[in-house]
Amino acid sequence: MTTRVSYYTFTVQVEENGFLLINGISGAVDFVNSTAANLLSSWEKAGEVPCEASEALVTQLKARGHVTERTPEEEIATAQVICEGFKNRRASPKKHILVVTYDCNLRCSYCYERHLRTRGQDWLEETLDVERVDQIFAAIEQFERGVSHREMLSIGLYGGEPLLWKNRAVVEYILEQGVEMGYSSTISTNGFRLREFAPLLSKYPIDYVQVTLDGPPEVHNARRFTASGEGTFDRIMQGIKEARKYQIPIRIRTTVDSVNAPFVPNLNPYLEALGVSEGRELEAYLAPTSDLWKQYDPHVLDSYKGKCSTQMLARLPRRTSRHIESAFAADSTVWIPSGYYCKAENNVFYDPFGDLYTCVQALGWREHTVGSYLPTLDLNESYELWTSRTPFNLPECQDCRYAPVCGGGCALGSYRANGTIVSGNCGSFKRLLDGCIPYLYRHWKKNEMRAHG
Amino acid sequence: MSEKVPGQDKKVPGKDKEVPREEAPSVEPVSKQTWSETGVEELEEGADAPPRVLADCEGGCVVSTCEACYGDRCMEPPPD
Repeated sequence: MTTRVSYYTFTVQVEENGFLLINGISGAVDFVNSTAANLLSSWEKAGEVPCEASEALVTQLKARGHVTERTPEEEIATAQVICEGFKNRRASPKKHILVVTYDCNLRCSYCYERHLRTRGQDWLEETLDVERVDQIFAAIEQFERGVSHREMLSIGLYGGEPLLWKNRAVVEYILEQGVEMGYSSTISTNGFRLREFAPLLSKYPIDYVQVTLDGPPEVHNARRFTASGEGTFDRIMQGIKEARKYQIPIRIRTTVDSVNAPFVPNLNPYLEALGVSEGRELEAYLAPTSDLWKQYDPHVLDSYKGKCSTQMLARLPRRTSRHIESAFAADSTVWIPSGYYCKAENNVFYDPFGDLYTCVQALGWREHTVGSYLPTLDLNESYELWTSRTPFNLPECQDCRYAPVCGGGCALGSYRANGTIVSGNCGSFKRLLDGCIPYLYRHWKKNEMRAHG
Repeated sequence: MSEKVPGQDKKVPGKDKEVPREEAPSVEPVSKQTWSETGVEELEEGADAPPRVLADCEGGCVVSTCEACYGDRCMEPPPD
């Protein structure tokens, strides 16, 4: 029986004389020096661990999954079982998201839905009504028939902008029906009308309302403004305060790119004045975009220490990659290989036209509908393609050593590059290797030094 | 009797410098635990993993799907 370096172990340099060994199946992340890294490289090239190798070192690496007695074919077969098994279990219950309307009262400079405005105002103003909401809940019950974890059932309100004042009647109807069916709700809103909606929302079980503040007022207002160009910072702050009077949980997101990155810490005093705390009732998080990693030095995020709240920074690594950040967690979280790239297999979006989607960025792009809920639930062949997508059914990814970590890349990105979602998309994974993993390591190392002196 | 070779005592630059010994290989765990082999058996037997293991999203915010793409689609709207 040959002992060899695991097919799924790869190396990332994080210091001049330091590398991370990462195994996508065992979830092991180990810091090794150049000597160890070079040894593994030579063993890999040779196709086996030599007999004269240090027994203690080999035992240690075997325990972590970096060295194995399995053949590459056996490892790939095991990886497929693991990844597809977890993906199937992840698929239920789903997150059901109602797109109340594609219309919006803001014109945010980076909005990924801004292309929908070319469809005209009549198209944009199509809105869910009572009849369609009833059909949506009937479809949800069909999806979740027999689900074992009903306490996890949740609906989301989305758009466009879900909280437009003209649509308050249907918003209330959705929340009422949600309560009838036993679902909690989340709302993703720009927050412009949150102050007015707060009394209505307070009557229903809301897990959280998410709003966006992209920096101090002058920075936020330059990128998140109304159709008439009016800034929105002050209205959103009023909305947050009103919602908190009714004890509605609020989550404040800051989308960080190369434009606002230098100014994000200046938002902190406003968050402190609101009372953003370590609890879940009023929390804030940073959402860095790939633009930031590509054009900006990731070290800028390190410079936020001491300037941004602990809570904002604590969730920052989440934004890099769910697949790997748990390996760097301070607690005993085990990194489980996920076998998928994003939550497209877990989401179902119901739009005002009766169309279903699984990908938030494909909303309104009819080429990517996965079915309809009108007159009744009907799924098309795309549903299976979107929800079953793993690296092991993508031609380029089946034999890739990064598959359990990468998950095959963004499906929509694959479509844009290759004309089909049944293909791999490596672009964002390279950013993970070059930017995010070294960042996670530095973050972890500082915490370790702080903890152990 | 050995005769001294001319220049024998002359110091040759670098010759007497101590050759650094290669550092021994070191491996320090960063991740606390690894996923055990028994997890594979449980999957093959159809064991139901608890929701805590499955739920890697904290709240299911729809926009977090965008975050999986690092938000780069924010900068590139799809063609009509």
